[in-house]
Amino acid sequence: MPALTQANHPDVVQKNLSQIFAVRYGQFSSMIPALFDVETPDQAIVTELMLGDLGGVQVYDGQIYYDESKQSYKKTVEEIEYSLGIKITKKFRRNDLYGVAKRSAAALADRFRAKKESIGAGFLNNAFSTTLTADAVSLCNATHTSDVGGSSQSNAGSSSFSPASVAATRRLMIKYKTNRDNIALDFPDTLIVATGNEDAGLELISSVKQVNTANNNPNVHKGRYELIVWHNWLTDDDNWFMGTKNLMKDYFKYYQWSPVEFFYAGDIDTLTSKHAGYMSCNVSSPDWRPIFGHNVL
Amino acid sequence: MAVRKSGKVSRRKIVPISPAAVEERQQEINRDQVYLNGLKKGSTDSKGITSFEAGGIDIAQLEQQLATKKRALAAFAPREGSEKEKNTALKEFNQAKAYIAKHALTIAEKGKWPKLDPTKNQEYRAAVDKCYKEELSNPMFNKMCEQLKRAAGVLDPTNREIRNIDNYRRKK
Repeated sequence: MPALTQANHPDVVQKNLSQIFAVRYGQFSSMIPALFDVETPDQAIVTELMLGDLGGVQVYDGQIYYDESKQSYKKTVEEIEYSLGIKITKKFRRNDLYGVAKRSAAALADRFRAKKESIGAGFLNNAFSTTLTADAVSLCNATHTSDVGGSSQSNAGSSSFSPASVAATRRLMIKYKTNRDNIALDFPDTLIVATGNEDAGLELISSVKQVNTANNNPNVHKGRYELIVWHNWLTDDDNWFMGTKNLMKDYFKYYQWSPVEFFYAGDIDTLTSKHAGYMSCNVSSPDWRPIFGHNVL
Repeated sequence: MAVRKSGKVSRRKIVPISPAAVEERQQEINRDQVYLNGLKKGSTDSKGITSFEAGGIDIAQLEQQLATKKRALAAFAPREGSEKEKNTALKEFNQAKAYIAKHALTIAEKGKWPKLDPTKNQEYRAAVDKCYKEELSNPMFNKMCEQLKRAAGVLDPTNREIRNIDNYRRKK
């Protein structure tokens, strides 16, 4: 006997859960675009390659000196898939007086947002341990080597956040060399801190006058840096980073094979609707020069 | 791991991660474990909301990712040492503490702010110079900070304060 079934009307069963998911997902403003260049790779494994710098420009004396860029370190980045779903029975939906199903869809969107932030921030949280650059050492490390003739350099310190340590770190980053020991052309302009250093960071870059004294001198740090505070997801309150924005955009990649998608289906045998999110992504950087990190604790 | 010009590979000793980072990673592992268990069992809670069915999800890959996270945590988490290890660690800890106290910015220097009047800016400039020279450009300072954190991990792995460099700065 023909009958209206849940399986034949998945949109009815689903009601507006996908809208709830989408609205909730869109309400969050992510820090990922502030630090990473978001790319969509066209293959499951991405190979990141560092190129050797060129030598210095020579005086022209009737002939051109030719130089060649050599291949430097390389690393691969693999796609990682993430998913999470909920299953809701017909009876539960009917008796759901408190909108638990809708709230669950919203919670699902939150979990995906949280996971994305966690993946992005994990890149910095693990900067002194398991986040590796193409030279096979941690992102922030005292011994970054060069295989194209340059010296070893450091981008890791242990100094806590203060006006003097910020200025000294800036000075050191300005002196970074390329992988053939040429002068680097990019200057640091970004401070990345956790909630614990938010006030100190704001005080440092926003106050017009020197804070906490009667001298009333202008604050020379004002406007020099953009402050990025990654609440909750930067897990160590004391660690902080200084970055060079255009280099971060060049090298810090958020690979998004599949953006967050919401699926649903009705199951006729169990009269259950299934709702799931899915994404696949990874983060990586072949080069360490975009950043200097202080592992304070 | 660093590759020297001679082609030899030198392994740097691992600096243990902070207690907060250990906790964070452990929580992440626990969450992943619960999710994985849910996928395997198809567990259902009393409200009728279940974890998503395992169909189409590569459980082996998830298990591999989880195992990698567990291995990384085991490698980087500080581990309390035996009495003998603690005695050695205490010596290294005190050595590092003394070095840091001597070379790090003092608490007073950390609090210096820049001044535009060059005649009044000497203290701030001196603090920046000292930080640049002694804390950032001095490989021994970094080495001693790492030594202090490693030793602190052996002595008291859950105590975040004994590995805090700021606690060993002089006042003036």
